[in-house]
Amino acid sequence: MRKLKILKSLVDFLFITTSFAMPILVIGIPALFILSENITSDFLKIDITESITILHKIFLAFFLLSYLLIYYTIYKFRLVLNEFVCARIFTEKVIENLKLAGNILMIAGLLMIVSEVGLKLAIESKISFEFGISTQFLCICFGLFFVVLSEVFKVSKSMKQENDLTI
Amino acid sequence: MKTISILKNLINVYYYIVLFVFITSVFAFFRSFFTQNTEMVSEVLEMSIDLNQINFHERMIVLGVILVVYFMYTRAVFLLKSSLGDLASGNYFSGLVINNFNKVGKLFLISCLIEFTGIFVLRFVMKKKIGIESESSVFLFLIMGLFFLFLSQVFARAGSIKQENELTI
Repeated sequence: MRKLKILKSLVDFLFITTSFAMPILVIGIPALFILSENITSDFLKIDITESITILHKIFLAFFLLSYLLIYYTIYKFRLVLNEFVCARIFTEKVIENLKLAGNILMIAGLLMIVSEVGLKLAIESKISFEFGISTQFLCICFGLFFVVLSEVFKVSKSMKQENDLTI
Repeated sequence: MKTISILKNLINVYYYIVLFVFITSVFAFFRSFFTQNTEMVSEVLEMSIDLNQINFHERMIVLGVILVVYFMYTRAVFLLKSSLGDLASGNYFSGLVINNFNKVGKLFLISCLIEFTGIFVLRFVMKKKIGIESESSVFLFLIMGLFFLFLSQVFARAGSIKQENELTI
């Protein structure tokens, strides 16, 4: 249980520190489409020699959106850990939150890939994708892992119910 | 159960990529050891630091730390890969899965400790300034390590419930 408390404290810390960046992201996505090109490129610190088109902005919005989704996943993971700390392991809330966190993390990974490929296509006019030890790939893998965990927890929950009924 | 098969395939591919990176890193490390040429090792490890700034012994310590972390990571991915075989066949709470999750957790925690020490030493050697950057994977390793250790305990508990259930029937 001590390890779990340390884990929860770490995730809480991660959640709080990332919370500071969230207003910037929430404002940043609509601001991408409102502000002028110079301000946008300065704000995002990107080096685009040609003028920024609406396509660039859409892919950049996808990129920012993926970080918002990761933040939401951390929030859901935190809820799962809260349940664990209260010794409620095989509950419906844990199963639902794990499944949702997994699905959202997968979407975030896919959005990252789309924005990366799209930006390269829009800026350099070439299609390329780096398939290696990357954040996108890890996001998709962890997303799937969370979904698998939710399925395993579902089985465990029904087993526990059976067990409780037998006693 | 389709999700498990997709995850299994992805982890399989990921394992071979990580293994390839590890083997290339070992090759680059030995090349750097014998030829004093740091170009390849910097390229393979995607390092943003100039290894020529430090002397031979310091360089070997830095590269050694990176290799050990890579080895731990590769081993952890391998253990995950072998656990997914059992998970995919519906054998969720087997001893193999519980043991592997426990080992993965410990490996991530050791990686975290080694990387933390490595970054600490590297910063001291390179910049003569002590500190740690927030974007390093130390924090992620720590969270993943603790999560896998906890998961192994949860799976062990579920395993005992399953055994009790089977005995009752």
